[in-house]
Amino acid sequence: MGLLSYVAKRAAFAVVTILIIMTMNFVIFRMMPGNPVAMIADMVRLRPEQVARLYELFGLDKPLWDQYVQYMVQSLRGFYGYSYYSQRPIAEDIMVRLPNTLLLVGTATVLSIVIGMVIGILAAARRGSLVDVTAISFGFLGNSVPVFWLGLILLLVFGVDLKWFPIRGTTSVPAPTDPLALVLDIMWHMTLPTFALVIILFGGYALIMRAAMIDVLTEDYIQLARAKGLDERTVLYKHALRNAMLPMVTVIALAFGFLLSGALLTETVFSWYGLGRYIWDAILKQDYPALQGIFFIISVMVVAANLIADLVYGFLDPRIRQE
Amino acid sequence: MDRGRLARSVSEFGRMYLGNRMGQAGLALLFIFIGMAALAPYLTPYDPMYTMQLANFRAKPQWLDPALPPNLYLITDPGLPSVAALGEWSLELTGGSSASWTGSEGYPGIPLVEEGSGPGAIEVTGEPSAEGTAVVERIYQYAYKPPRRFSVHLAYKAQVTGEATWSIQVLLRQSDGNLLELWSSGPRRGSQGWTVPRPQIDTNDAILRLRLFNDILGDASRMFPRGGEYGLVVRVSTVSEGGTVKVYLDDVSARIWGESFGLLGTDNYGRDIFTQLMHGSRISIIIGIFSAVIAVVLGVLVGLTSGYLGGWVDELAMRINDILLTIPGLPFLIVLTAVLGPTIWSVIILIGFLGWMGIARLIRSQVLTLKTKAFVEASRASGGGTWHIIRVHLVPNVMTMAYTQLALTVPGAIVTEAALSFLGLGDPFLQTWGKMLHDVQYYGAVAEWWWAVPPGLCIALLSMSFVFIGYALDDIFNPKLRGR
Repeated sequence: MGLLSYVAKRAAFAVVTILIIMTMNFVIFRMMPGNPVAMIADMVRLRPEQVARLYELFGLDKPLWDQYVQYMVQSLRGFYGYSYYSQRPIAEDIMVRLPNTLLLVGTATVLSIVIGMVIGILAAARRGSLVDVTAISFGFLGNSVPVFWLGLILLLVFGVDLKWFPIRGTTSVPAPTDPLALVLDIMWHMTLPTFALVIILFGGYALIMRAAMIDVLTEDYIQLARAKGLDERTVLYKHALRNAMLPMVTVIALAFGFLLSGALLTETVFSWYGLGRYIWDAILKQDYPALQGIFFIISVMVVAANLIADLVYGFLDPRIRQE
Repeated sequence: MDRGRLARSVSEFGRMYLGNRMGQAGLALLFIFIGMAALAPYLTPYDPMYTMQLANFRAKPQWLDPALPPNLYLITDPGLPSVAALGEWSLELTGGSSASWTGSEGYPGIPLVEEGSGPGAIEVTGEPSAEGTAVVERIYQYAYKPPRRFSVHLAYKAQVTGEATWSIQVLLRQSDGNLLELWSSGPRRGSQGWTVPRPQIDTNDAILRLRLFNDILGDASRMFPRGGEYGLVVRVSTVSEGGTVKVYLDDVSARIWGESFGLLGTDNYGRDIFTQLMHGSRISIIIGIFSAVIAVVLGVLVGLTSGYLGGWVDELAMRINDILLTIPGLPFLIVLTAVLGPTIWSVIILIGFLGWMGIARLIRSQVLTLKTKAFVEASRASGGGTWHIIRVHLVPNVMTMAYTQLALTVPGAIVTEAALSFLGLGDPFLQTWGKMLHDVQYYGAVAEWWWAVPPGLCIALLSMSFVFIGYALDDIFNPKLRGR
C-alpha cells in the first residue's frame, strides 16, 4: 500500500465519521419530544391551514428521508439553524466565538505538549528522580482533578485574593485600542485559564512520553548504540527520542478532543468569550440547536485533527504505509 | 479451580495487594468515602436538597469568625405554655389596661400553612370607657456583628363587645434608645379571629426596608448596627367608648438569621453545605462504579467477540470503535443529556456507553495473543466449541485486566458526571458535588472558599483512590511491568 492509498483511506474514514456524526445529530433532534410547530401552536391560536403552512415552512410535511437529505445538505453548507435565544443563525454565533476558543486551546496544547515531553524525557532518563515523581503525580492529578474546579481555585487565589489576574472576560472593558496593548491585555486575561489547562494536561503527556522512551530504551539498537560506546546523552536524544516521538503524534490528536472539552469547562469558569461560555448559556436557556451546532463544529475539528495526525504519522513512519 | 487453590490464590492476592503502597493508599481513601456515604444521614440531620432556610443564605462556617451571629431566637418560649413563660417579658401598663396569662385561648395555627403552639396566650383587657396601653418588652443583649436578616412573627385576636377600638404595634428598641416601628395593625374596630401579619415582618420584604430605612437596599444590619441592649416591644392600645375589648397575643417570636452556620456554612437557599458534601459521596460513588461496570462489561464483550471471531465482525467492531473514539465525548454527552433529560440513570448509562472503546481494544489485543497460545490450540484441536473456548480459556484470562480497567474507568466517570452537573445537566433532584460547584459558579461565590474548595477536593480524592487501586492491580497482575 503506497502513501497515496493510505492518505485516501484515512480521508475516507474522516468523511464517513463526519457523516455519521451528522446523522446522529439528526436522529437526536428527532428524539426530542414535541416539534416546533406544536410549540408555536401552543402559544398562539392558529387556524388549521396556518398550522399546515407552518409545517410546510419548516419542511416537516415531507417524508423523514427528505428531511434528512435537506438537513445534511444545509449542514454541509454551514447552516445549523437559528438559536432559540439569540435568534441569529448558530453558525454566526459560533464563528464569533470560535477564534477565542482556538486561541486558548492552541496555546494550552502547545505549552502542555512541550512541557509534558520535556518532563517525560527527563523522567525516563532519570527514573526515580524528582522529575520522575513529578511526572507521575501530575499524570495522576490530570486523571482525577476536575479542570473547572482547578480553574475556580486559581480564580480564587490569583484573581480574588491576590488580584494579580482579572477574574473574568477575554479583554478589559473597554478593550485597549493600541494593538500591542490589546495583545498584552488578551495574554493577561488568558494566563489563568491556560495555566489551569496546562496543569491538568501536561502530566498525561509526560507519562506517555516517559513510557514511550522507556519502551524504546529496551530496543536492541539502543543496546547497540550503548555497546558502541556512545555517551548516554547521544543515545537518549539522537537515537531514542526520534522513535519515542512517534506514539506522541497519535496521542496528541486523540487528546485534542479531551483538551477541547477541558477548554469548554475552563472557559465557563473564566467567562472567556468562547464556545464553552456559549454552551453554558445554551444549557441554561435550553437552546438545543445551539448545542447541536457546537457539537458538530467541535466534532469536525477533532476529526480533522485526527486526520492530520494520521497523515503526519504516515509520513514519519514508513512501516504504516506498508501495512 | 478447586476450593483450596482458590482460597490460596485469594489470600495470596490479598497479601500482595496490601503489600503495595499505592494499593494501601487507594483503599484507605476509598474506605473514608464509603464511610462518608454510609454515615451521611447519621452525620447530619438535614436533607441536602430540601432542608432550606437553616440560616441566612450564604452564611459562613461557624468556626470562621466567632463574632458573626449564629441563628438567634430572641424569645425563648413563644408558645407561652404556662404563666412562667411570661417571665422573660417585662410588662408595663398605663391607663385602663390589664394584662395576664390565659391557658384557654392559644393560637391554633392556620390549617395547612402553619401550626400554633399550645393553649397559652397573653390576654390584654381594656377597661370599659377608658384608654389604656399594655407594653410587653423582651430585652435582649446583642453581642455580635450586624446581621443581614431579622424577622418577627406573632398571632393576634380581638374580642370586642360594644364600642371600642384597639391597635397593635411591633417595635424594635435599638441600643441607642431609638424605636423602629416594624409593623402596626392600625386602629381597628370590632372583633377579629386569629390573624398573623401578612406579609410577614421580615427584612427580606423590600417594602419594610423602604419604610424603615428610606432605602430599598440595605438589610437588618441597620437595625442592629452594634452590640448592646435591644428590645422587642409589642404595644397593645385600647380605647373603649363604653364597650369592652380583649386582645390576645400568641406565638410571638423573633429571629436574627444566622450569619454563621455549621461546619461549612449555607448555600443560596440556606441549605447546609456540609450535608451536601456528605451526601454527594453517595451519588459520586454510585455513578462512578455503575457507569464503569457498564463500560467494562461492554468492552469485554466486544473485545472478546471481535478478538476471537476476527474477520468482518472484528473489522466492523473496530471501525465503530474508531468512530466513537473520534467523537469528542463531553460535547456529545452534553447534547445527549440535554435532549434525553438529565436523570441520574440516563447519565450513568450514557457515560457507560461512551466509555467502553479503550477497554475493548485492550481486551481484543489480549485475546489475539491468547488465541495463539498452545492451550487454546489444544482445546480447539480436541473439539472445543467457540463458546467453550471463550468461557473456559479466554474469560478467566482477561478478567484480571477487566478488574484493573474497572478501577481505572471509575475516575473518568466521576469527573465526567461532575462536569455535566457543573454545566447544569445533572439530575435536578440530586445535589451532587458537581452541582455544588455549579451553584458556586452560578451565584458567583468563588470567594467563599469553604463552599468552592471541598466539593472539588472530594471529587479529586475519590477519583484518585480508584486510580491508585487500578495501578496497584496493574502492578500485581502484570509483574513484567514492575521494572518500570
